[in-house]
Amino acid sequence: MRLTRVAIFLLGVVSPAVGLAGTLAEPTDGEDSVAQQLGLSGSLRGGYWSSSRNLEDGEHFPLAALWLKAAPKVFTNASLVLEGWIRNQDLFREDATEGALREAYFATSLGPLDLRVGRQIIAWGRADRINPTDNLTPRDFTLLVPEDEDQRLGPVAVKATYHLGGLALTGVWLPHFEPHTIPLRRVPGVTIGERVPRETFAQWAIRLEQTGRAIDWSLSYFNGFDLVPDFAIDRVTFSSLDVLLKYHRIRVIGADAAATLGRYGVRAEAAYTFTEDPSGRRPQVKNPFFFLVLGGDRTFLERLNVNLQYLFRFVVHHLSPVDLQDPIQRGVATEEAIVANELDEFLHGASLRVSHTWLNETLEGEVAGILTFTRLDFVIRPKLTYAVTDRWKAVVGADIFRGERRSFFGRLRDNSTAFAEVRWSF
Amino acid sequence: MRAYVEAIVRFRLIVIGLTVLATAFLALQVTNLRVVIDPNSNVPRQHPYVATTERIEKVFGARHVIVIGITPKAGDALTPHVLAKVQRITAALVATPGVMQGSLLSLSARRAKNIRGTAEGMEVLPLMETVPQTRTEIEALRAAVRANPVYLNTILSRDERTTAILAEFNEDQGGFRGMVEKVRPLVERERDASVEIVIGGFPVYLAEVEGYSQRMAFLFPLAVAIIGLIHYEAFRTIQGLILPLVTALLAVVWGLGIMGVAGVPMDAFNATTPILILAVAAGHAVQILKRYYEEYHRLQGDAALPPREANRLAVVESVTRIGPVMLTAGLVAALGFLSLVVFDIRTIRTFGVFTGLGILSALILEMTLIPALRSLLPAPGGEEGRRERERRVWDRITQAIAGWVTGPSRRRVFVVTGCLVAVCVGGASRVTIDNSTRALFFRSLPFQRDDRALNDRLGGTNSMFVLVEGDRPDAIKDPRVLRAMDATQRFLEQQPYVGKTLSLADFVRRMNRAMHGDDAAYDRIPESPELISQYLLLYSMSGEPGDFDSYVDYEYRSANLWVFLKTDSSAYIEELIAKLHAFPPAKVDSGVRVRIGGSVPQTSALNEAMVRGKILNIVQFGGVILVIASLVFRSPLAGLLVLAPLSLAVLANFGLMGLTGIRFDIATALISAMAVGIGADYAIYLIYRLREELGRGVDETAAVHAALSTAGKAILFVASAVAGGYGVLVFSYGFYVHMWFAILIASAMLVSAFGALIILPSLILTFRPRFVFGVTGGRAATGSAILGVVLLAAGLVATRGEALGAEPAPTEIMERNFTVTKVVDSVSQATFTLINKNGQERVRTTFTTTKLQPNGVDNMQMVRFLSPPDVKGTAILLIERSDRDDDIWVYLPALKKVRRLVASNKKDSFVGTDFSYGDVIGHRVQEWEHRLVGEQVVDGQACYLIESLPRRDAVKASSGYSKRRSWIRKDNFVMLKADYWDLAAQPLKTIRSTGLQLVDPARQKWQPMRLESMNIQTGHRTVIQYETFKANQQVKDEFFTTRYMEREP
Repeated sequence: MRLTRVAIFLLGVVSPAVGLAGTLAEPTDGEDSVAQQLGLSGSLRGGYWSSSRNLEDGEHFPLAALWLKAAPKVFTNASLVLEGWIRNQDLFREDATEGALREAYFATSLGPLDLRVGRQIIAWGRADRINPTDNLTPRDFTLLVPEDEDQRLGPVAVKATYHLGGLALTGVWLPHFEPHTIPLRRVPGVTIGERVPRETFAQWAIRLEQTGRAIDWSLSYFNGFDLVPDFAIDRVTFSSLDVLLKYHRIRVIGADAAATLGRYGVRAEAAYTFTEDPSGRRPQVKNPFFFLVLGGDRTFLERLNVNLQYLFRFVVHHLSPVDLQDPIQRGVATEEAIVANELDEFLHGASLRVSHTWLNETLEGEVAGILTFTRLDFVIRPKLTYAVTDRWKAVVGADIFRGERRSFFGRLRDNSTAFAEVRWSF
Repeated sequence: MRAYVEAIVRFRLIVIGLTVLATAFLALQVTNLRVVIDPNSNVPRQHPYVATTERIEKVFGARHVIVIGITPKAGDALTPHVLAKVQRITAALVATPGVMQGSLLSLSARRAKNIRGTAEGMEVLPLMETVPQTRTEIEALRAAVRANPVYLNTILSRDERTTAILAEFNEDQGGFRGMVEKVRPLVERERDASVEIVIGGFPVYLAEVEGYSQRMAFLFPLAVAIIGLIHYEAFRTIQGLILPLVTALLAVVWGLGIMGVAGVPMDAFNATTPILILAVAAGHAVQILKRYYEEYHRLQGDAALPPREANRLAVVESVTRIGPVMLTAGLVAALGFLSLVVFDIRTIRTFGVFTGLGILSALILEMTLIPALRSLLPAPGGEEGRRERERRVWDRITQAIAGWVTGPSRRRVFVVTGCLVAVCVGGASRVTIDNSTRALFFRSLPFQRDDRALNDRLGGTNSMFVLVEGDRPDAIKDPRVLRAMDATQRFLEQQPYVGKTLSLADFVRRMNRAMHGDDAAYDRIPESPELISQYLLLYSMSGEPGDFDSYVDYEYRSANLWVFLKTDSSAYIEELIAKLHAFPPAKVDSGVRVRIGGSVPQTSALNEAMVRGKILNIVQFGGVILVIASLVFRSPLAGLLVLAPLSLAVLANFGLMGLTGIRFDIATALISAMAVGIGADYAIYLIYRLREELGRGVDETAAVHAALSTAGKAILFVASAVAGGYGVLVFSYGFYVHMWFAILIASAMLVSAFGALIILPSLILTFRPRFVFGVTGGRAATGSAILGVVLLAAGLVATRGEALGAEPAPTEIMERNFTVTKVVDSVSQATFTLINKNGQERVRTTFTTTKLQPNGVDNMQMVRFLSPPDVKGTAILLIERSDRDDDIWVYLPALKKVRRLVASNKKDSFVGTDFSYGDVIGHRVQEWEHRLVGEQVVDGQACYLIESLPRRDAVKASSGYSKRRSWIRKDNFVMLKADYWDLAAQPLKTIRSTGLQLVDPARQKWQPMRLESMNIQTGHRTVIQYETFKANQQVKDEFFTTRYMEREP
């Protein structure tokens, strides 16, 4: 039965796409092929995950996915980019097939002004992977992909950047809001609803950036909705509890910088987030907080890169959810505090990423980890990528979350997974 | 790799310190290792025997039964003296924790009842309330037992000479030995000259397995010591004795420690896995050690280096050469083992993880601790070196093999191998799959004798249960069901090895007979269900509530039929169960369901699961090795060749088992699964060495001789050492498991070694695969290479005589060369082809813009990748800075942002190619000392040959070159060829440039349209072919900003 479903998926979804790509890629008499004209590229991916990433205790997920990107050469001074995927995260289930359009935008330049309109990924922040100023683009944290960046889903936005020498001033308007998809454990008797803000058009951000000199830096401001939900109690009965995920407005002032000092690359990024609970009295809304990432990297012996960062987070007017009297409020507020990483007033932590390449960069090994000193919870993520050929790539890796249940990474313990993926790019 | 090893050697004390710390940390973690003892935890829960056994245990108790038999030296067992012993032992067992009191059975147990009919109804009295003293009392007891046949052959033998006590135990903290140790003192107290008391039953055997397995505590160190001694004999050096063992033992500790940290549990079946890790780890260690000596002697002899320097360089050279091979071989094996994590059976998962981690640990140690340690140790002394190089038996064996393989005897090798394979296949077809705990021990051992005595005299010490389940309460009281049970019992009792059966039907028959004045005609199940119910009611009125707990549940919905067996052979039990299923009354006819369980069927299930699991394990491991080796060598044939020695080792094991009658059971399945993992690396080492030798341009006979006398000899060392080391297990008297271990491991080691040494080179020389011969292009290519050398030599001779005359100074030549390719700006499209030594290509196309900065020296360069798909859109912006480090940014489409990178060292690879950043940017002329060493013709062009040496150590370190030689065209100062030497003064690479184009005639700027860099040490090369190259294109400065990196190309 399962095999039949896999076969149906492969035959029905994947093979026509490959066939299409293959047909379109055929060159015709020296002219650009259709695929080249469409700027078509993508990859077919088949993989196996030992666990899901949504705390559902699910195990063994064979998956298949098709990633496609098109950047048709329609205009000379403008470009159109479309990128999306269709995937089945669990080949044992037909209804696990889903698709997403990650980006669909039109970009053009008018002298020093760059304009980009449509669904687009806007990734801010110069720190390594942990970016306090990265608040514009949602991610699906439950998506089973080896690279974190593939979890991003571009929001609809209008972005304009004005360049003056090495300086660039960027303004972004986000008329529509889409939140992160975060792993939530289903608890019997607890229903989880979601209330996405309606009047989302008033979201905007601005950023001043300099690159090309000895130090790259930026200052940014964002006024919009928080991508990470707050947990509100909607209804309590004798036998059930309805929890509502709400998204409150935040304002974020941020800055980042990157430079090189001899053999060291140095990066810093910090942000202060104002929330709708400035005095810290509402347990169901996040408190304002300050988040700093500071670190650097160095490459040893040509191919061994070590990247170490210190993480610091301070929650203003912190009130421990454990001190709440009402047990239901306490439970919900605790869960929220864990998800928002606001369990402690001060959080100190470190991230380490060590990577090495071998065989003329065809084999890459990486071990990344984050440890918080406050609760000693941690995640370790080893990964090995081997480019068998230019088109075939194999990845094996794992996410290992550990720590007490009541901690950011400890909560995700059941999301620990091992995975393997084979990718054919075209 | 070289830079890495040099760093290890330089920071050796830190490396040793860190390794010691890591080892201490992991050794402490070993204490966190969770050990799972229960073998049944490995049995698949859904197996019908297992499910039934669990159900029976839940409803009826019945788990681990120990049988105590008492036989007087003279007379029968029914004497006051013997019966008093029975009563005392029974009473003591009742008071023993862990014993299930309700199911204790003996003549004096409360459960043993005499059922009698009386005028009032039925009388149920204990068989023996007090010890009978008078003859009348004894005869009354005898009559009572005879009248209740359920006790015959269970607690009293048919000849009445032996009486038994059956005690059931719950799980014990102390394992099976804990159970037996509780019984033994009770029995010892009762021993005297007049009686023989024996203990038997399944727990006794499992306790003995536990006990004998502990012999490993001294056999393992002994094996390790012998391995060390054989290594010493082979190398004749202390390093040879110690270092491989240090790696191997630390690898075991690391493997266990990592399992402790990761929370992977250990189990009893994996107690022998360290042996495998030890063998594999030693295999790698010996290869590196052998190469170290080879390099050391070469450096000391050929280069006449002082011992200390030769030692350091030999460490660097050996690890640089063997390191990649070891990592390949080790990772292939480790991945093979780690792939076993997909198994359902926990012990196989543990086996895979433990072995995989152990091998990875060995690799890490061999790449860190061992080179650091070796560089610290004094260089081998003259005497030591001489001993190591002495020609001894090992050399004679490998050279003889080389002779067979390369000579006319090769056909004979195939014929002999074919015959041996045929014998092994014949043997393998005779392998019997059977598991018997009793068969693990010598028959002459005392507990074996005791158990045989019990089985001879009584019903049997092994149990099987037939569970009869109805669909409603009182279903068992149905006469049809009881009759079917009765018929089944009679049928079973006719089968060999079945000594006794017991069920509620026996009691009902007895009640029927008792209620009819002991008339033998009524020794049957009554017709009426009502009557049966009444009997049981009557029984309950004078019996005790728990009397039938072992036979029927409280609601009379399920019944348990006990079958006492005189054997624990899983093959027999399968046969018996098959017969039982075919027996008509055992089939469902009145709404009842019949299932089988008990200790023997459960062991049979475990056997089935383990044997099947281990066979799949072997197949999967082989499959993974095949795939990975095919990928590594880019040839399916390579995968098959690597697999060949392993397959032979496994086949030899099965053949040996079939020919010697060793059964395929849980223990031998474990050994076979280990055998497959031992030889995986042998083939890889040998293939690599063979390729290396062929790569030097020698002919194939010399290459095979060289490979066998180096890598081959190391294989022979380690195989002999491990085979010899574990050979000591053959002296583990009494315990066949250890002896099979010795025989089968030794056979696997030797067969896989000889498979790699004899059959592998024979196959390679016969099939001449491209992945081996491709390096030199095979036989024909060797010839053309020689021709090339001859022509080159002729060219050298021809040009040598040319006069040097009045020529520009070498520095001036190099300065003109430096600027001849520096254009104001350029736009180009190029294809980078990266080719590894197997000929496998990776192709990337780029679009590059460059612009010279106003200072006229520094360039700006934007490289955008157009293909392959996985790097398409990646852009690199490089701004050269004479006064400080260069600025570099990279745009990765996946990240959607630009990142600043640390400027690379000049010696670092340029985007993964064989060109360094220094080669691409150009080496600053004034930082080198240049010397004109001659003039030669290259590609038909007259060239200056300039030798350049770094002026300072810093230049040497940053460029990665200790010497360069450049062939510069005399007419336009373009470099046509350059050779580079690494920091150890070894030839590193050669760059050739061809297809020169005059791209800026006004400024006389040239551009080679094809550049090729060949790394001599790795065999990897890169070709940059420009499709277009246009200079003076008025490229704007804006192109060299991060803004342009983010744009779609």
